[in-house]
Amino acid sequence: MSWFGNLFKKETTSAHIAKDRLMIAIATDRQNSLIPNMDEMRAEIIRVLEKYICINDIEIKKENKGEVDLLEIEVIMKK
Amino acid sequence: MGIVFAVISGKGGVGKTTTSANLAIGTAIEGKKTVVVDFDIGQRNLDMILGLENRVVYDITNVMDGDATLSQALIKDKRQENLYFLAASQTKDKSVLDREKVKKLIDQLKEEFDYIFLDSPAGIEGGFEHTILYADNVIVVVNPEVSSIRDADRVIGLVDAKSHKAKEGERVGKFLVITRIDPDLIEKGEMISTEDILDILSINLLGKVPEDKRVIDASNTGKPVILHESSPAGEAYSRIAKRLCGIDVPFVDVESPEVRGFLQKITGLFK
Repeated sequence: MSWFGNLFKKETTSAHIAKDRLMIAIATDRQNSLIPNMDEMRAEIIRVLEKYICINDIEIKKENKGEVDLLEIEVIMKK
Repeated sequence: MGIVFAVISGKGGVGKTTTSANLAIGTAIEGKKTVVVDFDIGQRNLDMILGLENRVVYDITNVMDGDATLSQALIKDKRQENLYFLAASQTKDKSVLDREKVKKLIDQLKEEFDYIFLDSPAGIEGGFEHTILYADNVIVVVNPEVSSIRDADRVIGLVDAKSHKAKEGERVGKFLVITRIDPDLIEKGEMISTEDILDILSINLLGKVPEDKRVIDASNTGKPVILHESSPAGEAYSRIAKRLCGIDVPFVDVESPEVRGFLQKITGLFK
C-alpha cells in the first residue's frame, strides 16, 4: 500500500479500534480495582461507621496529588 | 544472592511456559546458573516443554513438605550446563502453597542460583499470588490481542499490592514480553502494534517475539525454540535472555514483513 493509502487507513483499521476500546476498558478497570479486596474493605468500613452514625452509602475514590496517592472516602449520611 | 523473575500473564495460553523455558535456557547459555520452577501446581507443563518429563522423581510440593531435599528434586538438564528444573506437583492443587513454605524454598534457591524463573499459573487465582510474593522482577507475557492486554493490565496492577518487596518499600521490576507478533497482520493494521501496547500498559519493554510455527514443533519434541537454528522466535528469546544478563542488545524490528522476508532469504541461502 502506498503512503497515500496509509494516510487514510490509519484511523479506521481494526488495530486502532482495538486500541481505542482497550484504553477505555482499562481506564474503567483501573478505576474499579483501586485496591485488591475493595469490596471487603468497603463492607467493613460501612460496618464500623454504622456503629456510630446513620449512613446511606460511602464512595471510595483514589486520587493522585503530586507526591502522594490519596484515598478519598466520602460518607453520605442519612438526613 | 540470586535474582527472582516471576513470569506472569493475565490470560492463559499466551506463552508463559514457553517464555519461562526459553529464557531459562538462554540465561544458562550466557553462563548464569539458572533454575526454572513450575509453579502451576496441578497442571504440570514445563517438564514437557523442556523435554524433561521422564526425569521427574520429586516435585515442588515434596520439597516444601520436607519429603525430599531440594537437591533430590532438582533436575539437571543434560543438554545445557548451568540449567536446573523443579517440577510442579501433578496430583495436588494450588491450595497446598503456603507463604512460609514458598519463602523458605525461594530463599534456598536464591542461595544456590544466579537466576530463578518462576513459571506462574495464569490469572490471579491461588498460585499467582505465591509466585509474585517474593519476586524481584516480574515478566509479563502478553499477545497483541485485546483480552490478553486487558488481563495483563489487571495483573500488573496487582503486582505491587501483593509483592513482599513492594510492601517493604522497594521497587519490583516490571517488564513486558510480547509474543506471537504477526508482521503481516500488523502491516495490514489488523494487529495492535508494540507502541500501542506500551502506550496502553505503560510498562518497560523487555522483548518482542514474532509468531513462529517452530514453537509448536519445539513443544512436540521437548526442545525449546531457542535451541533451534534460524528460528525467529528462538532468536528473539536469545536476545531477551542476553538483556536479562545485562548485555545491551538493541531491539530488532520483528514487526515488518520486509525485514522478516529479507532475513528469511539470507538464512535460506545457508540452508
